[in-house]
Amino acid sequence: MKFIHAADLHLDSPFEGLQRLPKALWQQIHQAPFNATKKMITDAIEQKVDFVLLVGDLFDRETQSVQAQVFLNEQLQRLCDADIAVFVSFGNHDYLTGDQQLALPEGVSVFGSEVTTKQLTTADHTQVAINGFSYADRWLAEDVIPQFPKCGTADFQIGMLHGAVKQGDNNHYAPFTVSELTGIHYDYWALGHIHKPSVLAEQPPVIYAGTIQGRHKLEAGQHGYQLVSSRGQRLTRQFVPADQVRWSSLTLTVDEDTTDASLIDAVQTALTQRQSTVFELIELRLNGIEKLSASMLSRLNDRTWLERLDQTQKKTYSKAQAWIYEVNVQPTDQPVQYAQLDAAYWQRAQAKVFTPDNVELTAGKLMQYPFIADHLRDPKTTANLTDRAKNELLAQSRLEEENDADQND
Amino acid sequence: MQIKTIKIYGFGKFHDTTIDLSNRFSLLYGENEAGKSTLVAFITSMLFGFATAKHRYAMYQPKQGSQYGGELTFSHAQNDYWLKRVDGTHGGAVTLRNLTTDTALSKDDLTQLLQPLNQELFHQIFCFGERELQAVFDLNRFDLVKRIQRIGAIGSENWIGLTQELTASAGELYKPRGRVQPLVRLLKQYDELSEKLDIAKLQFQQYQTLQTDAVETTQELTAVQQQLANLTDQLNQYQRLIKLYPQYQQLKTEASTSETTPITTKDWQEATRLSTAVKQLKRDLTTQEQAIKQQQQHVASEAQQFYNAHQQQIDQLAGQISAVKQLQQRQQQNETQLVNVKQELEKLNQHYGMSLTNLKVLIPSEQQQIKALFEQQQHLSIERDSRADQRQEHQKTFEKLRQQADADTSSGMAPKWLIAGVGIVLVALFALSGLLRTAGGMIGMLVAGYGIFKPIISGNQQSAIDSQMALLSSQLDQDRQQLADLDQQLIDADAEVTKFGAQHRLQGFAPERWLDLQGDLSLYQAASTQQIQLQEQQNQLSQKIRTYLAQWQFAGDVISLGGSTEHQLQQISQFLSERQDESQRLHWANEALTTSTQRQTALQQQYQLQQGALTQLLSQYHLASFAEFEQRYQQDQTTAQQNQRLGVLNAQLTQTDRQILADSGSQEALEKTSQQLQAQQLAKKQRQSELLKQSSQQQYQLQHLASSDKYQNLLQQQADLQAEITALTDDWLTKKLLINWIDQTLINASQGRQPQIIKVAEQFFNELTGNRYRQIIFTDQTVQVVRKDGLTFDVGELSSGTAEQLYVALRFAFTKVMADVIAMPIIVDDAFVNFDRQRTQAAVKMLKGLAQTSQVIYLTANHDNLTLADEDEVYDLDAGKSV
Repeated sequence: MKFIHAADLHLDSPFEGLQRLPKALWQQIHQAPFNATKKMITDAIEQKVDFVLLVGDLFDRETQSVQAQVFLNEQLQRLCDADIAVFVSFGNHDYLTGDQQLALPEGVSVFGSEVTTKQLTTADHTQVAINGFSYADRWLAEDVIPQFPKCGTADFQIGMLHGAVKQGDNNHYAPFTVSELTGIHYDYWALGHIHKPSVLAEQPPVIYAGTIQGRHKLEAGQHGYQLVSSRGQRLTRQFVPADQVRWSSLTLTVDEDTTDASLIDAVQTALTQRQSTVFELIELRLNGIEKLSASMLSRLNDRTWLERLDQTQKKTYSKAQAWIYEVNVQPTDQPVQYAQLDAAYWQRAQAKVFTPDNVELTAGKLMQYPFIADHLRDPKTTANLTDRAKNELLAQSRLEEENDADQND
Repeated sequence: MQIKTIKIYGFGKFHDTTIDLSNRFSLLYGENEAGKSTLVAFITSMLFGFATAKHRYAMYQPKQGSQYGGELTFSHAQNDYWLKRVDGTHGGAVTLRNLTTDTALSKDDLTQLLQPLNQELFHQIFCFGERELQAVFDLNRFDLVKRIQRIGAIGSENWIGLTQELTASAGELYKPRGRVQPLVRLLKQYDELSEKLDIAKLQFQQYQTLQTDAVETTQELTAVQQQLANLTDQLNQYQRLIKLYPQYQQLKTEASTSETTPITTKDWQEATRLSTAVKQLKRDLTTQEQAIKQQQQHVASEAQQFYNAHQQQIDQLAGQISAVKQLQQRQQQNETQLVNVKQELEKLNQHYGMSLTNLKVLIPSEQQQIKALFEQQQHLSIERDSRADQRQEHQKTFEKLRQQADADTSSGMAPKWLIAGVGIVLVALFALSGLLRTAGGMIGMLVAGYGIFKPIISGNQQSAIDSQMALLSSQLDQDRQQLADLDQQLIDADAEVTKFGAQHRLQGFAPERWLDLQGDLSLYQAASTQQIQLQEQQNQLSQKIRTYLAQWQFAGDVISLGGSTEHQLQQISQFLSERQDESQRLHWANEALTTSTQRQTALQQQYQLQQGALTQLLSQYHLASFAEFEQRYQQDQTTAQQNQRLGVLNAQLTQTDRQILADSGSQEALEKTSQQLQAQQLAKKQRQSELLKQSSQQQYQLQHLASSDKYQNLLQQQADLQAEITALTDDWLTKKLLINWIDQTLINASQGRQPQIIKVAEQFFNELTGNRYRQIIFTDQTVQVVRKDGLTFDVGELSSGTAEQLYVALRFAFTKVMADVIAMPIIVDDAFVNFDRQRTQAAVKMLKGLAQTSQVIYLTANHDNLTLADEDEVYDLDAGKSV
C-alpha cells in the first residue's frame, strides 16, 4: 500500500511580499503552485500510489478562481484516470457549503461535515479505513477528535484532520492535542492547516504535510508532500519536495568600507555559492549598519540601493536561480544619539509612540485597506517600525552631524 | 563654569589673541567677518575638541602658520583650571591643570568635568545664533506655538528641524489628501485593481452560471432531441397511414359480413370431386352403351359356318396335320440332303477330271508299298543331284586354272599401264609447269615402268597350276561314272511305280496324288450309298402325304385346295388357324359383352350414389345446382380474400394507428395533422440547432474562463501591489512615527521642565514686554499668556512681536534652567538683530539678569549695542582689545 498525503495547496492564493519582479520571473513564480501540484500528481501516477489524501485548503473560497479550481479538477481527473483514489476533506479556506464551488471530478471522495469513515481496498488487497470531515464554515471551534471512531478491522486506519493544536482560549480551527490523536490508535494522522511541514509525533505518525508551495517569507524552506508506504504492518514515510520556488534568507555583514558596488558583489557571490536546486526568493539581512557611512545607510533605508541591486539581479537571477526580494537592515545595538539629559523622555515617548494603537492612529485613512490594517495590527510590524525608526534616526543624526559640520561657519 | 580668559595661538583668522572674559557679562563687538562665529567655535573646540578632518570647515586651521589651538582659563565648581589644546589626535592634544589644587588632569578628566555635555548638547542648550532665532521669527503661528511648547527639550530646534524634514519626506511618500504621492498613486492603482478584481471575480459566478446554463442547455437539448425523435416517428406513422388510408377506406366499406354460412373449402373440394365424378360416370355410361352396341354386331364367317358344320371331321383331320407336316418337313430335309450328296459327288468328279466310280480304295499294305517306292525314288534323285553339283564344282575349278595358265603365257608387257604412264608424262610436259611438271613426269615414268615389268613378276606361279589341273581331271572322270549309276537306279524305280499304277487303275492320275486320293475315294463311295437310301425314303413319304390330302377333298372349295402338296398343306393350316382365331374372337366378343353389361349396371349405381351425395351437399347450402354452388363458393372466396387483406392491413396497424385512423375520419385530416407535425418538427429542429449553437458557445465560454489566467494574474498583481503598498506604508509610517517620537520626546521633556521654565520665563517675558504680561500657562494644546489686566490670550492671538518675545523669554528661561543644573557660559551670537532698540535693550537687560547665575557672552555686530553694556564689559574684536 502506498499513498500521498498533501494539504493546503492554496492554488488560487497569490504570492505575498513580492514587488517589481521581472516579467518572466513573475510568470515563473506565478505558475509555481500549479507546477508543484502537477509534480505531485505526476509523482502519484508514476509511483502508482493507491490513493491521495488532500487535507483541506485546496483553494480559497474567498478568492474563487475559476482557473485554479478547473486546474485542480483537471489534476484530480488525472488521478481518477489512473485509478488512484482521491480523498478530499475541506478546510477553513475551502469549507464545504455546496455553492460557490465547482464540483470535483466524479470518483473523488469528499468528506462531509460529520466525521465519517471511507473504506478502501488497495491493489495489494490491503483494507484501509480513512476517517475525516470537512469544515462547514470558516471556523470550527469545537474539538472534533472525540467524533473520530475507534479502530475498526481494517489493516490500516488513517485520520484526516485540518486543524491546529489547542493553544490558549481562542481556537478556531478544530483544536486538538497531540495526546488526543495518539490516544486513538490510528496508523497515520494526516494533518493540514499548518503550512510548515512538521511532525507532531512519530509513533503513530502525526504529520503536517505543509503547503505544497510556500507563498511568503514566513513559509520559508522546503515544501512538498508526504509519500507513505507500508512495510508489512509498519508505515514508512518520506517527505518529497515539490515546490518550484523556495523562500530563504541571506545574512551579510557590512562595515565602513562597504560601498554600493561592493555590497552588490558580496550578494552576488553569496548567491552563486548557494547552488540551490530550486529557485530561491531571498530576504537579504544586513548586519553591522552602525559602521556604515550615513549616506550608504540612507540609501539602504530609502531603497535606492535595492533598486540598483535589482538592475544587476535582472541580468543574473536566472543563472543564480535566486532573487533578492527584500533587504532588511538589522537594527543596531548602539543607542541612538540623543541627550542623556533627555534619555528618559525619549524612552517614555518611544513606549508611547510605538504601540499598535498609535501605529493605527498614525496610519489613519490607510487603515481602511484591510490588508494594510492586517499588516499594521501585526505586533511584528510595530517592532519592525520601531527598528526602522531607530535606523532612520541614526541615519538622520549622522547626516545632520555631517551637514552641521560642513555648514558651520 | 566661568571662562576667565581666552588665549588663541592660532584658530581661523585669530592668532596670538587674548581675550579677558572675567566678567559675568561680556559684550564682544565686531563687524561682520570679525570672527564672532570663529570665536564661538574656538570656545567649543577648546572644551570639546577640534573637529576632525571630515569636517574640514569646522576645523579653523590657522591661515598664517601659527600653532593650531590655544588656552583657556576657567573656574568651575570653586576650582580654577587651565586648559591648553593644540593640534593632535582625537580632537587635539589636551593639557589640563587644576590650578586650585595644582594637579595635572587628563583629557578624560575634562570630559568628566563637562558631563553630561558634549559639543552638540552645549550648542543646543547654551549657544544662540542669529539664524536660530531668525528661523523662529519666520514661523507661522502654529509652528511657533509648537516650538514654544517643545522649548523645554534639549536641541528642540534641531529636532523640530528634523521633524520638519521628515514631515517633508513623508509628505513626498504619502499625504492623506494627496494626489501625486507614490503611495497615494499606488493606493489608487490598488483601488482600480480591486475593482477589476471584483469584476474578474464575477467570472466565478459567471462560470457557475454558465455551467448551470450549460447543463440546462444540454438537458433541453436532450429533451428536444427526444421530442424530435418522437415527432419524426409520429410523422413517419402519419405518412405511412396516409399511404395506407385509401386501402383502409376501401376495405372498411367493402368488408360486408356474409349472413350465410360460407362454403368450407373441404365442402367445396368434396362437391367439386362429386361433380367431377358424376360427370365422369355419365361419360363412362355413354361410352359403355356404345361399346355394347358394337359388341352386339359380331357374327361368324362362311368358312366358320362350314367349319361349324363339319367340325368333327375337320377337327379329326386337323389332329393329323402336324404329323403330316413333319413328314413333309422330312421330305424337304431328304431332298436337301440328296442335293448335297449329288453336289459332293459332282465336286469330287470335277476335281479329278474323271468319274471316280470305278476306283477302289487301297488297302493299308498297298499304301505301305507305294510309300516305300516313293521314298526310294526320292532318295535316288537327291543323291544324283548332289553328285552332279560336285562334278560341276570340279569342272569350274578346272576351267579357272586353265584360264589362269592361258593368261600368263599369252601376255608380255602390260600395254595399259605403259600407255597410261606415257599419257601422264605428256600431260605433265605440256600442261603443267614448275614443280608440278617435275612431279607429274616422275609419276608418268613410274606407271609406264610398272606396265613394262609386270610379266616378270608373275611368271613363277605356272608350274603349281599345271599339277592341280591334272588332279582335277581325274576327279571329273570319277564323278561322271557315279552319275551314270544313279541315273540307272532312278529308271528302275520309275518302272516299279508305273507297274503299281496299272495294277490299281491309277494310270489316269499322277503317282504323287495316289495316296491323297484314297480319302476322297472313301467319301465318294459313302455318298453314293446315302443317295440311294434317300431316294427310297422320298418315295415313301410322298405316298403318305398324298393319302392325307385326299381326305381333305370334301372341303376343297372352301379351303380352295390346289397346287403342290406343300401349298395345300399350307392352305389347310391357314384355314385351321383362321378358324381357331375366329372361334377365339367370337368367344372373347361374347365375354366382353357380358362384362360391359355388368359394368354398365355398376356405373349406373355409382352414378346415382354420387349424384345423391352431391345433391345432399348442395342442399346443405340450399343450392340447387353445382353451378350455383360454384358461384357461391367464388363469392365466399372473394369475401375471404377481402377478410384476409383486411387482416394483413390490421396487422400493419398498431393500436395507435387504428386509433388515429378511427379518429381522423379522412385522409385530409391525416394530412393536415401530418403537416402540423412537420411544422412542429421544423420548429424543434430550429430549436435544436439554436441549442447546439448555444451549447457550443457556453462550452467555449467555459473553456475560455477556465483557461483565462487573468483573474489569477490580477490576484498576484494585487498581492504584489499590496507588498509594494505595505512597504511604502512602512516607510511612511517609519517617518511619521519618528516625527511622532521626537515630538513626543520634546513635549515630554518640555512638560518635565515646565514649572521652572515658566517661572523664569514669566519674569523674562514681563521684562521683555515692559511688564504687560504677568503669567504664562501651558496647556496640552497650546500656550496662553495672561495680561496685566487679567485677560488671557492664546499664543495665536498675540501679535507676532509679542509671540517672538514669548519664545525668547521661554528659550532663555530654558537655558537658565539648564544652566542651573549644568553651569556653563551662555553664548549669544547676535541673536537679537531683528529686535528694535527698545526690545534689544530689554533683551540685554534680560541677559544681564541671566548673568547673575550664569556667565553670558554676548557677541554683536551692532555698534549701538555697545551703549547697553558697561565699558569694562565690552571687548572690540576688530580692535583686539577692550574698549
